[in-house]
Amino acid sequence: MTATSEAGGPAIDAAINHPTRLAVVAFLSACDEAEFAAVRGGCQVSDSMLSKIASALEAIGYLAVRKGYVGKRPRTWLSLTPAGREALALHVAALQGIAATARRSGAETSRS
Amino acid sequence: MAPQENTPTRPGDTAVSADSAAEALHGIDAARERARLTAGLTPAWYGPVAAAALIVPALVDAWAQERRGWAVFLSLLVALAALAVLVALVDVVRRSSGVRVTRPWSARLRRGGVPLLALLVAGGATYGLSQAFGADQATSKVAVFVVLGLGVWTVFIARNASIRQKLQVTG
Repeated sequence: MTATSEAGGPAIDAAINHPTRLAVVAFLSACDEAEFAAVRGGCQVSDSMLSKIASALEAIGYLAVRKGYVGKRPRTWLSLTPAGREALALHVAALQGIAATARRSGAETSRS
Repeated sequence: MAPQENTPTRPGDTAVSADSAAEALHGIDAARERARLTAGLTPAWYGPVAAAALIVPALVDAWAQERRGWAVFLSLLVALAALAVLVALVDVVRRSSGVRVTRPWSARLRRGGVPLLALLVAGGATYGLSQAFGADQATSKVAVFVVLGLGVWTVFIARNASIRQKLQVTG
């Protein structure tokens, strides 16, 4: 799933590379767990799209889905698994690497 | 708004330009900030219930001072019930919140310290003013708890408004 430059090193992860998936994973990375509706609102995605994203990320072990109740109302809670957090960390590191390389090469071009 | 897509444009596509990387990093920061802000929102009913839990016992206590006997016992019960409500509120809000975040104690103190200090100063000033204007002990106490209750309500309204404004900016 990942385009790994070296084993365990920073790598762009194709599973979370799409902006919508990345937004969902990033949103969940800032909390212990979040209710489905809160993620939908926070990431501005539709119910069906978030459902598909959650299923896909759950299938590869990046996301955990917990069903429960608040009072009598059924609720679905989403959270990132440790594997999901690690994948995001590596993905972010890879993005930072790309951005830093571009900045460096831009600075060298302007000097020469 | 992010495009409504679920899969990468090309399966296994991991080629990312510098501009896309910068944009993605910005998107990640924004999503994390939205999660943190959403976690700080409190339900609209929280403020009035907290205010009532502070004001009602003070009113009942002032009323009981004149009657003594069973009224004092009743005021004690009301004070205990209000304390239980305040404790339960914290748990209810934590469980009903859409986003759960475990904040370190330092962050909790930073978040609640300034409003708490402001409320205590306002309560102290109210008590001082009540005494200066010749109010009796019971009236001064009611005035202090009314200020504290309304102050707590105002803090929650102001905090929610500030969070909603920030959410609009980050959205």
